[in-house]
Amino acid sequence: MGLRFLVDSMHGYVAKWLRIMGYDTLYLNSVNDEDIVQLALGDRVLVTSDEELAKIAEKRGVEVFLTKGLTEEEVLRLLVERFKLFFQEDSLRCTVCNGELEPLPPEEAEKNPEAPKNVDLLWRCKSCGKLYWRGSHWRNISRQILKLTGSEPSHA
Amino acid sequence: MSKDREKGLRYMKGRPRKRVQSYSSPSSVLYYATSPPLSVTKTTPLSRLLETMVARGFRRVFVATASGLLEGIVTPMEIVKHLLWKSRESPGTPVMDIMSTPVARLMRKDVVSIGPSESMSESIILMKKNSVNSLAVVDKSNRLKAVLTVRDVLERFNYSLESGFVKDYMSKSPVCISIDRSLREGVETMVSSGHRRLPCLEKSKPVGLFSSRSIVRFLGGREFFKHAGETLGELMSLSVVDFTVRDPPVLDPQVRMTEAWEMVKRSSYGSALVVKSGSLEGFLTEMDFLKAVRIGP
Ligand SMILES: [Zn+2]
Repeated sequence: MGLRFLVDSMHGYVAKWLRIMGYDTLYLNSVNDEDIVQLALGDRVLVTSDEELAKIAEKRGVEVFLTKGLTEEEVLRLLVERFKLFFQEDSLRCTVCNGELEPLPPEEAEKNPEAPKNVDLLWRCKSCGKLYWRGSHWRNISRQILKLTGSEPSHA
Repeated sequence: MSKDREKGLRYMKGRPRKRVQSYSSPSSVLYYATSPPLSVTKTTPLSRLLETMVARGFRRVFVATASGLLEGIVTPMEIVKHLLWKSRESPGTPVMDIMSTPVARLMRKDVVSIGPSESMSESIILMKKNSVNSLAVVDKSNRLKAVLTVRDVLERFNYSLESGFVKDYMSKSPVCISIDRSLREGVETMVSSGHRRLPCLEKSKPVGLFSSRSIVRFLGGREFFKHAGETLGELMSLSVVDFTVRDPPVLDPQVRMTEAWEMVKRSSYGSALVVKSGSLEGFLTEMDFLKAVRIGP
């Protein structure tokens, strides 16, 4: 199984980008410390700015990335560095719900009123149905990925 | 009495629907609350708790001492969490083993409570502020007197709903789950998002509701015995589809909240999928209706 993350509610931006890069990322919303530790135990890296929580979690054997004093951009860059993250073109995830994206066949795209015309590749979240495509924002994503990982995504 | 104690349960016969009205005014909490509330003790085993919740349809059970002092609460969410933690810690544990878990290890202690003579508007504010769907009604010495649920507020309290539409109150990008995920992934998503109910989709089409309550119903139901010989790890790798209810209310985003409540009220789910031309637009729960309750004259 690949690297998985658990990101506290202060880091929505980080969670979003980890998902864009294809990493299974749970985003915490009003969850108590004990539950956070339990959720992370074993197979998730906890990303948090809460020193107290970090201490408790580490003592229990959770791998923690403490973000105190860092900007969201810095957190993301350091995560990429430390865990050698890369853009996983074949396992994209929904930024809203962490669901897996699946390519949408052209014939279905045609039937879907929400799908934009004239885009070559469309994805759909298996969990919430949200559509993704390479629109104008793709250039920003592409640039950000290049900045973070040093290599540009080829197509996906 | 002794018989009840044997069972580890203390409640009146039949559904506890008796209202203590003699000394409570129609604007006070106790007038609308259900009394006495169902409670168990810390030593009640999970199997007994499940029986109570499933057979009698309770969404929450309070934990109290023999003399009635409030100690905690158990909801389906606590049971589901325990299942997940246990399955992580020791996936090889036989599922039957967890049935003897005492309530003390499941309950949460932070119960939101209110005094019996507080006003209904106060109770609505408390529920909204703490995002809880029930309040323990306790006297000055923390003795459990009654329970007030969001349903009690919405069904019995003489209030009016704001004239808005479903689309103004629903959550717009609800956290969802795909029907082909494992129970383990489903529960992880539930716990991390803080939502005990998730709209469930199949090939991007909304098909039902995956909830902590449906998992508890499974654990306390007949279906469970088919899995009695399995381990926790095996149980958690069952698919979300086995825990999804297929018939939750479905609403159009343009429906008025008053009309929406009439529909949701008739179902036992307390929430509805908001769907427009076959795709999920949002999710509406009892707590969203509470937001639409107009407080005051
Ligand atoms: Zn999604």
